[in-house]
Parts: sequence; structure tokens; C-alpha cells
Amino acid sequence: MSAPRTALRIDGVSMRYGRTGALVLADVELNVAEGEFVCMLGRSGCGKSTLLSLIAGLERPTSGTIDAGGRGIGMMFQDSGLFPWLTVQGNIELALRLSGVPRAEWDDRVADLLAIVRLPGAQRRRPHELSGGMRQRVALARTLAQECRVLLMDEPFAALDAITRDAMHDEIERIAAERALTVLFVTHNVREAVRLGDRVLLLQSGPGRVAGELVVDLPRPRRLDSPDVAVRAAHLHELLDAQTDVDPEEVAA
Amino acid sequence: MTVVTREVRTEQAALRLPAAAPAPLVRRLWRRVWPGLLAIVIVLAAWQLLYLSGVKPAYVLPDPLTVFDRLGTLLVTASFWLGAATTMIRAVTGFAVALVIGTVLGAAVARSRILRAAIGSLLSGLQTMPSIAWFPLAILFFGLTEQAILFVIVLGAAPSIANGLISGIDDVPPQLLRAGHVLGARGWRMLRHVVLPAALPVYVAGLKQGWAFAWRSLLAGELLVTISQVTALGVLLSNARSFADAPTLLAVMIVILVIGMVVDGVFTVIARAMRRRRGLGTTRL
Repeated sequence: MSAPRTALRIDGVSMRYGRTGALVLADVELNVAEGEFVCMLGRSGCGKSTLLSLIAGLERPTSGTIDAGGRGIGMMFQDSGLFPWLTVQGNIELALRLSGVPRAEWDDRVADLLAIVRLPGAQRRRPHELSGGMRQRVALARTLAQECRVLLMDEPFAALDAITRDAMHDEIERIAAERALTVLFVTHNVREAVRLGDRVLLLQSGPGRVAGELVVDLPRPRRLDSPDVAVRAAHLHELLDAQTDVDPEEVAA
Repeated sequence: MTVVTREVRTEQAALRLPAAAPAPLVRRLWRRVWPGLLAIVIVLAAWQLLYLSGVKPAYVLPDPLTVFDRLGTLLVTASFWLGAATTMIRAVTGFAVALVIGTVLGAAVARSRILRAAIGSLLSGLQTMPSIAWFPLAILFFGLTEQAILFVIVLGAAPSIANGLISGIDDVPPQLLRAGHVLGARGWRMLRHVVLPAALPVYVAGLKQGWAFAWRSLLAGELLVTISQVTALGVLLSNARSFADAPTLLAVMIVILVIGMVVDGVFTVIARAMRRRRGLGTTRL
């Protein structure tokens, strides 16, 4: 068996807002293998969202390089980011149009994508008519419309209720496996990270850096409330708590 | 057993029917219209009382019936329709020019930091400038001509339209810009597919305000800039004053008010439909 290819290589990335602002990320090194599901866990302010923004090209790093090898990168946010003036169909069509898909294929592609996220027939609905979970499904369909190989998810399920979130975990796990997506998933929910990730990265703040990682060697599908997940979550909690003791900001305070 | 089932069924049917049937159109219409009608009745009653109290002689303040009677006769004269047509053509032309200038100016200021620093505050400042204050200059420039009126309409309306577009673009939620960016929208395509549609409701609010300014400027202009041989609503107004013809004066005023309200209403309907489609509720602009 050959080693899986690297989908995403992050090399010595540092980020500082403005010329004199605080260092948000310091010398981050990260390799993500093709098809790998990596969760990034950290307290708020550890720069995990910033790291995703850098990978998505929404911002430029102060130094260092990010290489996705020309793979298409898609991104989902906590807020669905659906355009309220467009229907579900219109939102997904816009993604297809911006990716250069010929107009003749739009209808079929939209129907396919909605079937994948299990919202068949939702074409004519408007974002505000949908529940939070449905909006995230549409956002996922819109992201998949870009045929991206790397999917960045910035706490996409943080605003959902527990039952909907469980369902979305199943969906994203299934879709990522079916499409062999490389996923980078940011969360501050320890159990969610263990539930989804092949690997969980611990990020530390002040300045943000990767402080440790845990390979989750549990078979899939997993359940959020299974004892195995709980044990690993408890372990991660301990690591996170240990972090607090050395957090310079908190010491200063 | 069967009896019970049947009873349940009829009960369900009885429960379902009234809820399913929507209120008839007439009743729904009435529900929306009556507060306005009541307000009009109150105003007319107050007017009538004022008339009966005799604070002003009848040739200065006629009673509502006389005025509406005059309005009826006015509405079948050619000169009235000629005047109204002149005024409407000026309004539409002026508003159209203001729309183009305001939109181009607004887009430019919203996109350019230098332009914003240069004329951003001037554009807001211009909105506070009473348009009638421009007329002496306009008359000096253009004489008693159509251009003088057009000039002031545009100066009155364009800043509101520009400001609407500027704040619409400024207030596009960053979340939508990020979503557009990760979908691959850049430059012109970002503007066309994300920024402009997101800015549209505030832009329409600016158009509505621009219309109000245009209409006010226009009527002020028609009172000040009287072009010989040309009749207009403003001319009818000032003629009625010259001849101390209070019923005609008030009748023309009612026409001016109604036209302004109808156009304003069109903008409101457009804005409301847009907001409803976006799930923004129906807050008044």
C-alpha cells in the first residue's frame, strides 16, 4: 500500500493583523492526507477560524505557505451564508455558474445535489423558509456544487439543536466518504471532534499554534454518545485543561 | 363503534372547515383600508368644522364639498391635464436623470476610498440643503427654462439615491461577501451576484427618498420658474392664488398630494415585496 497523497500542506504559517497587531497564528505546520477528516479543536481565540480563512484564501498569511495542490477548496460557515434574495435553486445555480458549469446542466445538477443532502424538491424554497439544519444542508449542496476536493468547515453545526446536529454528523460523514473529500473541520465541541475526525488537532492560543494531536482509531460509523467516544473526549478535555495552566494570557490576567 | 367513528369524523370536519377557508377578499381588503378611510373622514370633518367655525371667510377657506366639486370640474378640463402632463414629464425626466447620476456617483464613492474621502460627506450634506435654496443660482445659470427646474430636481434627488446605494453597499453582511468569495466570485461577478443584490433594499429606500425630494423640488420650481405659455400644476397653483380662487388652489393641492403618495406607494410596495421575499418582515421604510 502506498502512502496517501497529501491534499493540503501548511508550512510555517504565521498571521498578524495589521503591522503591529497581536500574533494570531505562529508558525503553524500541518499536512492533511487526501481523504482525511481532520478536526481542529481549541478555545475561542486560538486562531482556528483564521487558519481556515487563510486556507480558503479569504485572507493572506503574514508569512508561510499554504499549498492545496490546485485542489478546489470549498468552505462552510456557522451561518449558512445563503443569499436571501435567491431561492435554494438560485443559490446552488450561482455556485455552478461561478464554477463554469454550462447552463443546460444546472437543473439536473441542482436536483442531484439536493438529493445528496437529502432535501429533494426544495428548489423553490427561500432560505428564510428553511430551518437551521435545512439551511446548512443547502449550504453543503452549494459547496459541493463547486466540485471541491477540500472542504473547510468552520463550526458549521454549532448553531443547530442536538438532534439536528446528530443527523448532520451522519450526513457529512457519509458524503465525505462517498466523495473522498478531504475535510478540515473546526469546532470547540470535544465530542463532535472525536465523533467526526480521523485525527483531532489541539490548537492553543496566544499565539495560535498546533499544540498536540490525537488519532481517533475508532471504527465508523461512530455515535456521539458511545463510551469509546466519551473516553477519548475526556482525554482531550484533560489536554485542553492542561493548556489553560500555561496560557500566557490567562496567567497575565 | 360505528357511531363513535362517525361522530369523530364530523367533529374533525367541523374543526377543519373554518380554519381552512380564508377570509373573503372583500373583508381582507376592508381590514387594510378602513384605518386610512377613517383618517380621511376625520380630516374632512375637522376641515368642515373649521369652515363652520368661520375663523376664515369662505372665499379663503371653502368647505370640502366645494373643493371636491371644483376638483370634479377641473378633472374634465384640458388645461388641467396639460398642466399635470407637463409636471409629470418633468418629474419623470428629472427623476430618471437623478437616478443615473445618483447611481453612478454612489457606485463610484462606494468603491473608491479617495472619492469617499473627497465627496462622501458632501453627498450627505447636500441632502440637508433645502432644494429651494438652489433656485436663485439655477435661474441665474439657465434663466426661466426647463433646465433650471431639471437642475434643481437632480440636485435634490441624486444625493439621496447615491447615499442609498452607498449605505446599501457598505452594509452588505460580511458573511455574504465571504460566502461569495469562497464560491469564486471576484471583481465584477462579486458586484453583480453578491454586492448589488444585497444592497438592493437599501437602494430602493434611497430611490423612495429621492422621489420625495424630486417631487418637492419640482413643485417649488414650478412656483418660482414660470415659463410663459407653459402650464403645469405649479402654475395652476400660483394662478389660483393670483385670482384668489381658493377652491381651485385646494383642489390642485389635493392632486399634488395624491400623485406624490401614489408614486411613494409604488416604491413601498416594491420594497415590501423585496423584503418579504428575503424574510426580512415588513418593517416600514
